[in-house]
Amino acid sequence: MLKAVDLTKRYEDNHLALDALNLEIGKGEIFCLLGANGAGKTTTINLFLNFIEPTSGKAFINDIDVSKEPLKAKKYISYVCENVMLYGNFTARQNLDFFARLGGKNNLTKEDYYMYMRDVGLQEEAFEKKVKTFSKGMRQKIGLTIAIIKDTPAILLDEPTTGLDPKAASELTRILLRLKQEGKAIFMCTHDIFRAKAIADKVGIMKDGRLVMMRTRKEFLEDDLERIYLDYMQEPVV
Amino acid sequence: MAWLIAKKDFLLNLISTRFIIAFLLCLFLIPFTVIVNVNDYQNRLRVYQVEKAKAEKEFKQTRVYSGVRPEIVKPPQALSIFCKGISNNVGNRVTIYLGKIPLFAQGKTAERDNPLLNSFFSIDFINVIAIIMSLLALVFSYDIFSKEKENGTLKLIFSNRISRSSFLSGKIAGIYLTLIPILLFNFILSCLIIIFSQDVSLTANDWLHVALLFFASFIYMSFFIFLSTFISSKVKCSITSIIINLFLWIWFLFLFPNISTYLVKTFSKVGLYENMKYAMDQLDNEFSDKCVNFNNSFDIDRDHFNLNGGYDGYFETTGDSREVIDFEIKIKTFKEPLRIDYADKKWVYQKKYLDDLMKQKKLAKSFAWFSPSDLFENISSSLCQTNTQEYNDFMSNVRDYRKTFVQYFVDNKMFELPEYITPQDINTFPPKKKLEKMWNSIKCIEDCPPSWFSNYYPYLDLSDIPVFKFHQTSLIQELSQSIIKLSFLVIISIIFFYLTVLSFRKYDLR
Repeated sequence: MLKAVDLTKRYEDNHLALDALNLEIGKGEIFCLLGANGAGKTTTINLFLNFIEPTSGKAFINDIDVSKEPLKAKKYISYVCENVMLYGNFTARQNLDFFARLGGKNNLTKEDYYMYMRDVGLQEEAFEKKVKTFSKGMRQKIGLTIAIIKDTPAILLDEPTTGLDPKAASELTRILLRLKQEGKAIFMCTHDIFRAKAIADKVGIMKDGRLVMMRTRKEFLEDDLERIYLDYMQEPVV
Repeated sequence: MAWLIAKKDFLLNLISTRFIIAFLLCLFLIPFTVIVNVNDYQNRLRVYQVEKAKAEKEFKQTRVYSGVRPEIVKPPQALSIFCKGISNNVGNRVTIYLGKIPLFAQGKTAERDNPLLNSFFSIDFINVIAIIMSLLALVFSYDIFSKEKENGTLKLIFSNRISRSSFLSGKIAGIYLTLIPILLFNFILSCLIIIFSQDVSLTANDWLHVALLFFASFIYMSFFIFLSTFISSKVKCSITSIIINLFLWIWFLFLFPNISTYLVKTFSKVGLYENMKYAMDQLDNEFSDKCVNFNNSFDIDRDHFNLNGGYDGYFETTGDSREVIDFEIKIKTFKEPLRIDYADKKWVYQKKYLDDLMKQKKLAKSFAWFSPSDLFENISSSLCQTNTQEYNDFMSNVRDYRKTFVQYFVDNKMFELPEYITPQDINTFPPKKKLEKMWNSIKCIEDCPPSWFSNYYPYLDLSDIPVFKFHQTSLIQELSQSIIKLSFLVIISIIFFYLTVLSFRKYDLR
């Protein structure tokens, strides 16, 4: 569903943000990309979303070259960013309505939105409240609801658990596992090694723009993922 | 997609603090400005009615042709409620004299400065629209992209199947959806105030002009929307954008008009009004000397029983001797054509002064191309018929009328007629010796025959004297004056839009 082939990004200042990334995420699979700040995780997401053009290589969504047909590719993808801000003066429902329509879902009723919000564990009294009064966890749930409503086969998440309390992070994990069972391909960039360990089918570690390690669930459960991660973080890239 | 973005932005703007402030600002400023200007118009209309009645009355109350002084009173433009232009700088009354070609109308003409240069701070409806709508256009557009970016919604939006052009169109449409109702509200509110005001009646043609003013305001507002959108597409954060936008706003609306006026006065010097006046006085003295020399060439005793007159050529006498009357006719036959000649000589100096003022105005107009607010002012004053062109056309009509009036006197040899100086029948003037005897027999003024007094005679029938006719500028003429300026604003706006499209193609969405 999601594929990167020698995906490379070098910025105008000659900084190599991503160096020949190769990865593939199939349906019903969660891929967690770990790495320090500036490792190239968000660059990868930006390339999949066509926010930036690759210097070389290709990113595919459902076998569609993102660079060539970005709008067609975006039909198959949803995105949850690190800090979902939304429109503060709109209520949760109004925000959902706007992004749902933007995602091509035009026939949803108020009750449908309420159902989706209940589903992600948002409290009823928040449904018609202005989003500017929401906590980060609540906004993150709305962000996830937008992705769920869009109902795409692939979901990109950029550090979705950063700043969330354990309960909210746990709820997010539960929802992601459910989405995985529904057959969604999930690509999550995160610092949260414990969360990755809990849900990932594949884990990759990035350092200085390079994917320095990739393990399947079976492999990383056999090894000590925390130790491997820390080792890679300390080891200089050759 | 674009409509969805536009609708979202419209709804967000509608519940934003800036919209409420904008609405309250308009709700306070527009009625205040329009009421003040309606009141000003009503006052000017009342003054006009009084002056016109007075002028008509005085014109008819003349017993000799040398006292015929047509006075032209220009009615105030109802549309000056919207845009005063230079109407408050210039006068509205012109008295026609044989010995003087009118330079400016009397009344409020500030003769020591260029009255044709518009003063921006004479606040009227168009000034308020120029200030408020440009400010609102900037306030609603400065963060058109940066706010979405700062809120993190830009990435969320572009993770969907929306093209940059659709997003851009939607954002701009959202601004229009927000600002058009405000602009419309301002116009409707001012029109309602005018409709319910006493003494103010706009014709169908005037309403058409108001519609054109709305259109001009729309284009003016669009210029600032596209300017601000372009700046927003070039800078990364809202603060930078608002600072640049506010600087340009202050520059275009306040600094540039004043700087351009200063530059105009520096680069295009106008001779002193006093110098022109002095040159004219010299010619007047020359004319007087020639008249005195002519008088002195005759040896005649010019004793008058009843004489009224002035330096402007008015001369009315009754109860004189036949010799004196014949002599006065001779003098007038010599003096009046000379007076007309000297008016033409004085006009050379007046024309030079006027040309200098017009040169200044022309330069100011050239500078106006660099300021959208100045252009908007020019367009509005042209549509409201309160601009320099309209005033010049009026004064030109007045001068043409004076020419016709003078020609009527020349063609009909009026200066040689006794009626030019006396209402008394020429044959009733006794010879000098007989008159002297009559005078000697009179003990007191009551003994004088009533025919020796002016008020014994009826007023002249002046139905044959040419009448001044107003030539209003046609809508096509006004449009032709404005259309180039409006097109220029439209072209600049399109250029800014195009640059925004190019710039937004490369806009960093991250």
